[in-house]
Amino acid sequence: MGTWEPVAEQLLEERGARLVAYAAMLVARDGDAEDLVQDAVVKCFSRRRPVATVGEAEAYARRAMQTIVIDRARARGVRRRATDRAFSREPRTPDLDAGLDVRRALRELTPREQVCIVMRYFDDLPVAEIAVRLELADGTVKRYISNATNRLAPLLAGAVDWDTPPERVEILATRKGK
Amino acid sequence: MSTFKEILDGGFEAHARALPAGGGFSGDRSRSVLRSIHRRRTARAAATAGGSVLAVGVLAVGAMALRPSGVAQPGMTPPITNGLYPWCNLSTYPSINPEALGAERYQGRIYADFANKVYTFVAPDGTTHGALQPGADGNYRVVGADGVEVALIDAGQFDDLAHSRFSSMALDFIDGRMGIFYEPGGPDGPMLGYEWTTVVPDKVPAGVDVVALSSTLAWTTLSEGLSFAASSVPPGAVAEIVFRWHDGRQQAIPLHDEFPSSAVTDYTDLASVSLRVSNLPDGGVFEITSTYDPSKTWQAACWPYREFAWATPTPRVGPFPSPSYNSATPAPSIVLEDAGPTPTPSYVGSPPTPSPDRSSVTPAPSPPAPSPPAPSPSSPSPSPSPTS
Repeated sequence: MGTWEPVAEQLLEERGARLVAYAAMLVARDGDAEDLVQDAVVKCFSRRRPVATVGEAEAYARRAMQTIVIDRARARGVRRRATDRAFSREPRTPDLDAGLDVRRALRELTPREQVCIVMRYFDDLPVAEIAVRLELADGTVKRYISNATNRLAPLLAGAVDWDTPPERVEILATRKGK
Repeated sequence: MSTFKEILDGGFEAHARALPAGGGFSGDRSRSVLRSIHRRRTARAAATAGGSVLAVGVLAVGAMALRPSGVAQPGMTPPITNGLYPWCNLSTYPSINPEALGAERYQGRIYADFANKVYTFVAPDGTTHGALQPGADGNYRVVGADGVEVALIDAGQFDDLAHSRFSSMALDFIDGRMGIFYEPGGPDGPMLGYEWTTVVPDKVPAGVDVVALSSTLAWTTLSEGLSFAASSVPPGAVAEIVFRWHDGRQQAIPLHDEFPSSAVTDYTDLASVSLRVSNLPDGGVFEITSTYDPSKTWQAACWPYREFAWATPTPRVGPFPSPSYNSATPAPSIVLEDAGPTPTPSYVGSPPTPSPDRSSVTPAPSPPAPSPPAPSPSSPSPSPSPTS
């Protein structure tokens, strides 16, 4: 047994539920969450120097989930690829009711918006950090968050007090051409 | 009224509490994850050590792993290609074994030259579509043997590959999945598929999806395939993977929805692996069986001599003390660079029917004439001595 295996087993056993719950905020249905976790954990422990502790592994797996979702969104052929994967099959288990309202609202967003809003409000990351992690421009991240909050506001009306104003994007008018 | 963060946190905590312990990662699912990690790490180790295998995770397709696997064949010598060490000359790379696929169909192969951005598709009937052009989305698509679209999707990894030693690959496409990944003689056993012959009964009960079940079975035999979908059998039917050994042992492992089938744990004296469906509406039993014959191992041509140690029944991956890939040794060449813009390896052009004598060391029906390896002070002995 490799040195990584006990850590991987412990991660799945102890943190599996939290990882799946986190993944469920990034995907379109609960049935895809486990598969996202699986891909992230495989990625985490396939590195030449895998993580040494469960806490480190959970953090890495979460980050991996974010980039995996973004990467898949980038590949337009992802839908076809997804249908080729086992996990794309219609899950037999329905979405769990617990916390479903907010997940349903998140799933109205595009994958990029979904990831950005979770990183911003759940992980408490500043825009600049999100931009670095996802290899996006700051302005792009701001736009995604702005779009997301604007779309979420009516969906969660009455439930959310937007304590901070929705992210604004500064648009500079530039003259094109000579 | 709560802040959005509080809403998110609350939803997360409630969901996590409502999930089963481990979030569903227990038993088969957990083992599947660990197995996937093993596979990736194995491929990575091999790539580091020998440069002859690569798992392309983002592509979700497999590169060819060229490593002899399975049982030793007395008297064999590894073929030599391109005057260097017998690394992966793609034109001599054996096609997949269609007989191992059951009801699935081989759709064709893409020869990907990432460095020169030349992608060539060869259908099983030999039809070649040279120099595929990218679509508007930057991906490469072509229609496979049965009208199935084969897509080579660049999710940003092509450039990386172009600058790596894996700048050329051969990628096989199978029904229902993007490709097949041959593991280089890792702990899961031989992966080229020539040890397996899969038979699907002619009479298929209503409600049984033989293509899906074949893919599930391939997870066990080829270490690649889709997981089991309960929808591929009639409601109420019971699906199992059944291992049978020549000494009479038998082991049946139930299949669960959306979980892959089990890996072979003991190849010694293994006779067959079946996917058995019982409790069918008519009371009958349906079974797709892959018989295992290690003597049919196709000895791939691409591995340093020292690694053709026939005495090792199940070669393990790295670290390989092969001196042939040190910095003083030129990298092995790839046939796509040699064969012109539209390489059509003859063996691919033929129907992918394996040679009757699969134990032959020659991996392809029409390989280029072997030539001796270039002398090198660091080269290992070119004369492996069969020991079994």
